[in-house]
Amino acid sequence: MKRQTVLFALASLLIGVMISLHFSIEQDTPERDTRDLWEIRTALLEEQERQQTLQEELNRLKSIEADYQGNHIFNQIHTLRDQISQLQDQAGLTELSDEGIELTLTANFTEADQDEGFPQLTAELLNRLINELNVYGAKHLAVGNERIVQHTAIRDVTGQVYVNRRPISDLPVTISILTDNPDRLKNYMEVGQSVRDLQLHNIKLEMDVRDNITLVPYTDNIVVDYAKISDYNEEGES
Amino acid sequence: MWLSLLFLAIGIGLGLLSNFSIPAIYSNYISIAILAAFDTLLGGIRAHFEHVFNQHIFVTGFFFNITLAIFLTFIGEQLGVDLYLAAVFAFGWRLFQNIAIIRRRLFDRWEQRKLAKTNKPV
Repeated sequence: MKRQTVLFALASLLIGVMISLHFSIEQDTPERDTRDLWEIRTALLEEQERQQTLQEELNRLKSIEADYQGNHIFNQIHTLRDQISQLQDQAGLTELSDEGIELTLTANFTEADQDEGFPQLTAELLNRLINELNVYGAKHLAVGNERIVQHTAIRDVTGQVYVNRRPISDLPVTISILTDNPDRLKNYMEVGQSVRDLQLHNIKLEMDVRDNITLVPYTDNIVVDYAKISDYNEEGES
Repeated sequence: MWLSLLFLAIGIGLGLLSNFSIPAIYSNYISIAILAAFDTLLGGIRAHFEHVFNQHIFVTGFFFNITLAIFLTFIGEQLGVDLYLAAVFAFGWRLFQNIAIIRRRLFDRWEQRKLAKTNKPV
C-alpha cells in the first residue's frame, strides 16, 4: 500500500515535469538571420550612430546635472535660466537669427493652363513641403510671419490656407528655414518630391542660401491644458 | 491521493524552475507523452481500487506507454500521417473509462461508509 502511494507520487512528479515542459515550449522558432555582410555592416553602423547620439545626450545631461550640483545658488539659477531660454528657443518662443535658406513659392503663370486659373497653394502641399524640410534637417521654420512650432496646425479653411489659426497670404509665400547645413538642405530639396509636387500645381520654388535669416517668434499661448506628463523619452531625437 | 497531487505540483514547480525550454517541433511528443503518463497513472489508481494493482506492471506500463506513444508520433511524422491521433484516441478513450470506474469505486466506498455509520449500534 505504502509503496503504491510512492509510485503514484513519482508518476505524478514525472507528469508534472512534463506538463511544465509543455508550458515552456518555445512558441516560435527563432528567425534565421539572413542578412548579408553589407546589411549587417549597415545595421552595425546605425547602432553605432545611435550609441553616439545617446552618449552625446548623456554627456549633455550630465554636464547640466553637474551645473546644478554646484554649490553656489547663483550658479544654479544661472543654469536654470540657461535651460529655460534653451527650451524657449526649442519651442519657438524666441526670435532666432542664424544661417539658413529662404524658400519663395511663386505662381508660375507661363506653365499655367488657361482653365486652371491662378495657381493656389493648398494646405496639403504646404504640409508635405514642411515635412520634407523637417526630414532633411530643418531646425526652425517660419511660413511668412507664422512660426512653425510643435503643435502648429496647417489647415484648409474655405479654400484659404491657415497656419497657426491665421490665414497666410496668397502666392508668393516665403518660408524661412534655419538649419545647420543650408547647402546640404538645398541640395536635398532640389531633388525632393516637393519641388515636383509644387510644379504640378504650377508653383515655382526658389531657394536662396542666406547667411543671416531672422525668424519671428511664436506669439500665441501654447495650450498645454490637455498635455500630460509621460515618460521622458528622448531616444529618437538626434 | 493528496501525496500524488502534491508531487504533481512539485513536478510542475521543478520543471518551471529548471528554465529548460523545448523547441516547438517537439510539442506533439510532449503532449502525447503527458497523455500516456496520465493514462497509466489513472490505470494504476483504478487497479488499486479493484485490488489488482501490480507495481511491476505499473512501472513498466508507465515507461512503455510513453515510449510507444512517442515512437508512434515519430513514425507518423516520418510517414506524413498524423499517427499520434491514434494514440490520442486510444489514450483518451481509456482515460475516460478509467476515470468513470474510479468515480464509481469512490462513490461505492462513500456509500459503504455511510451505511456502516448508520448501522453502528448506539
